[in-house]
Amino acid sequence: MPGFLFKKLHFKKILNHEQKKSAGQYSSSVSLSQNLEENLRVLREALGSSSDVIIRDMKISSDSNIDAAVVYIDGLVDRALLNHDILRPLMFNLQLIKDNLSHNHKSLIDYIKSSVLTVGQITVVQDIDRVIARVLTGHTAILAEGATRALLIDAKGWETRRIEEPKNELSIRGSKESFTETLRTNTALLRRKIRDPRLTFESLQIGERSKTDVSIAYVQGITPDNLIEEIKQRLQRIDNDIILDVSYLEQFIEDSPSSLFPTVGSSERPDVVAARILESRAAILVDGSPMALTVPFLFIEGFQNPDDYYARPFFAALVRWVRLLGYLLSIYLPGIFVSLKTFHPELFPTQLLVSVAAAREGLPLPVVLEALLMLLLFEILREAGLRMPRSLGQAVSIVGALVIGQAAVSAGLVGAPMVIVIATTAIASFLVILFAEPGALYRFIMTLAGGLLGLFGIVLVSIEMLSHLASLRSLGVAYLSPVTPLNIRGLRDTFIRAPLWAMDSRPASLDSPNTRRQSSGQMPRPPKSSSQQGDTQ
Amino acid sequence: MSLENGKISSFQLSVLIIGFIFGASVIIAPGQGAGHDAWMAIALGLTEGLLIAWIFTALARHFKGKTLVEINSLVYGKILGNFISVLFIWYLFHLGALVLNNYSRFLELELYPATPKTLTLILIMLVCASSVRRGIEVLARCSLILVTLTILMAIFDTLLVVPHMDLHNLLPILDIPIGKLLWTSHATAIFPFGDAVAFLMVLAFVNKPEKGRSAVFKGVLIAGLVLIGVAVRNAAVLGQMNPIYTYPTYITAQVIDVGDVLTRVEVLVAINLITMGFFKISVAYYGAVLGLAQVFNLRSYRPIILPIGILMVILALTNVSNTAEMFDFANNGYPIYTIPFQIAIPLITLLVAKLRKLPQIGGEQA
Repeated sequence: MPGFLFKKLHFKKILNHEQKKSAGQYSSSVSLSQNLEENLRVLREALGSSSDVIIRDMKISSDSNIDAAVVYIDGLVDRALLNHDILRPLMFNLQLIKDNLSHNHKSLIDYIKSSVLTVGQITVVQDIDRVIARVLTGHTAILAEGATRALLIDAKGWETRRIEEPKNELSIRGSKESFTETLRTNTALLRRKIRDPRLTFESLQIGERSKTDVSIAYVQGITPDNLIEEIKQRLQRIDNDIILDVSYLEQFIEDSPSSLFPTVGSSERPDVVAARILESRAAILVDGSPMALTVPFLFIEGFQNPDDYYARPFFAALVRWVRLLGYLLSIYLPGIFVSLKTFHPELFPTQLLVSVAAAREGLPLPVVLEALLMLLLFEILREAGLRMPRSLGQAVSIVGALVIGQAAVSAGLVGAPMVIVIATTAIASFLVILFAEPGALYRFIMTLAGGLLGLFGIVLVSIEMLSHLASLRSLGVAYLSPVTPLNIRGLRDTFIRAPLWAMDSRPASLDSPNTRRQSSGQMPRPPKSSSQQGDTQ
Repeated sequence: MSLENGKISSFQLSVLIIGFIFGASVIIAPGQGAGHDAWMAIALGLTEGLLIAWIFTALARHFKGKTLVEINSLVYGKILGNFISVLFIWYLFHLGALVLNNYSRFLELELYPATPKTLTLILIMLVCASSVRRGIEVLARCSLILVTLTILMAIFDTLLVVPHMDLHNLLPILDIPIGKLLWTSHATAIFPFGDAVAFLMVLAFVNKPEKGRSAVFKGVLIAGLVLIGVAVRNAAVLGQMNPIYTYPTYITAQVIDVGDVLTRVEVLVAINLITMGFFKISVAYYGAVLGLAQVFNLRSYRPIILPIGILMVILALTNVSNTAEMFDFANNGYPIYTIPFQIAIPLITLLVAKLRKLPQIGGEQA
């Protein structure tokens, strides 16, 4: 049913598409004229009377007889670079040159480019649209009287955040850097991890108004071509005003928008994204967002963590199981407790049953309502703790711990076992952050099902959940693979984490054209004789 | 135009068949009529069941990539073919309703005496319907996880009742008249093994059709061996009481008691049975819906899922009036009633196809 609604919406969107395309675009493809005044007039018209648009008039050439202008947006350009390497050579060095080149307007622009400016990236353009578009992204334009071409200089420079430690995806032994809001910094972080010449960043701009730079990162020959094509198609279909965050793209390109589970992965860690790219996935980076999307995204990735690969394999496997168990607990525990209490008390060991029954003596609410109420309270506390100004943090913890926990029990409103159950659930729900949202929703559903129909209800909801998960796909890859459909080789990185030297191939479910990751048989075999020296001395 | 675009591997098919056969057999213990010789009845029944599987896989091999409905209309022509197909679809529909009925009865009797049967039936039907809607691929994927869990839980249960087992309970062997043993083993061959004939609607979607038969055999064989193990366990634990109980597997789990902590875990058996029944109902449901869509040349089978499901619930509510009747039908009526569907239709269709030299090589146009 939700799917049907979404189709309707999609249809409406196509209808709107045509109307929107025709409106709100400035005049298309006008070449620069020879007259500088005319060019500047067009620029002023397009860029409006914004105070941050700077048009600097000047006279250049040896006898100061040629009008020129430098156009840029204040705040987007590096002022030191602008002053030292653009304005200064133009106004000062150019005048030192005593040949007659300056009178030859056609080659003036080329001359400036080749011999005057001391900056790296310069392009020559002829369309005024491109000048406008590039100036808006932070380029500096140089226009000269009599020239039908303009120079665009990449002298971008603005205030940015430094590369900081990851805030959400913590790791004990891994690198301590995370993505920032600047696309270039992020691509550089990836490039520093993968120095392969085939690492490619394909750029496109999305957002009618925001013109946000988006980059698709992948390694040619490892990521399947059809995957890249599919991603590009999905990205190009987006027709939106503004892309504020990478999650905007996520919502436009995901396979199953009506699912509770995410089918697009995201990470703020360059090492995670680099590893995923080399597992033959593709990453999508967006300017202004300190997260990268990775597709295809499989369910099992939610339970993987960078530390799994940095720690020793046996412990990593243990932690995986703990995470899986914790996630299941966070969904099922309140539901199972409620259903046992309501329908199957015989499953409690006798002693436990006695103490649970004693604790519930004289409580006003049925156990289902009690559980739902406590879950709701927990969600309120969690959300409050997340959004509230930091200085108020003390208040929430005091109110949460004392009033809702202890006082509620001693006042006889809530049973102590219920508080323990909800607290365990709450802690467990933080183990797998990526699936915390679907987990919270399913927790409510399971509790309700357990209260209404006992374990039977829980089993029915679980079957439905499993069948839903099994039907999901992420960019054509089955969500639950490699577990089901089963891929034995793929299981090396699921319930166990095989030693790094044993993981010779990229995940087979991703269908990479280059499946070999490393040569096999690299298990360390230190020479036996080495120990003799130490012992005999 | 294809009604089902999914493809499943032969391994997935085997697992799905295991789930399908476990289906109702956790409730109606197969071979129960043979008392403590149940394991022998199951073993004999398994042999006959493999024979049935041999027949219907022969038909599926003969017409690769075609469901029974398509095969029928090829072999008998449109009108007669569709008539036979509708008979077979009735069998699948009835099978689904019977299993639904078994479930609701079990739940009412053992777990939820106060919950109306209609509610449990509708809920199971809705869950099955939503999975049928997602197609055979999704069913197959679910089966791997749920069947694995069920087998693990069965092993777990068995290990926990080892202290209560007394293998002398299995003696004397061949305690019952040979006629009764043969009849029970035939009943076991038909239910649960022969019901796998429902896979005639699924075999068409196996990605390597030549492996279909071995996959069916593997599935039937593994399921049969597990059932034999369960029967031996039940007989050894329950002894003389075994034939009295309605649901011996459930009662066996009640015996479990590990240090007064792990007691009364029979509800876990009930969980197994709900999950496995889900497969049996879903596969039968899927076959009925897909077959009907093919008979009537529908563009998609999805619109008729819910109507058929509602009819199935109604049939499940009305066709058997009490548990004793259910068991009587399962033990005495069902083994005869299903012979036309499980043996006659596939066998005769295969013979007619051979006589008419169908499918003609090179000239086969569907």
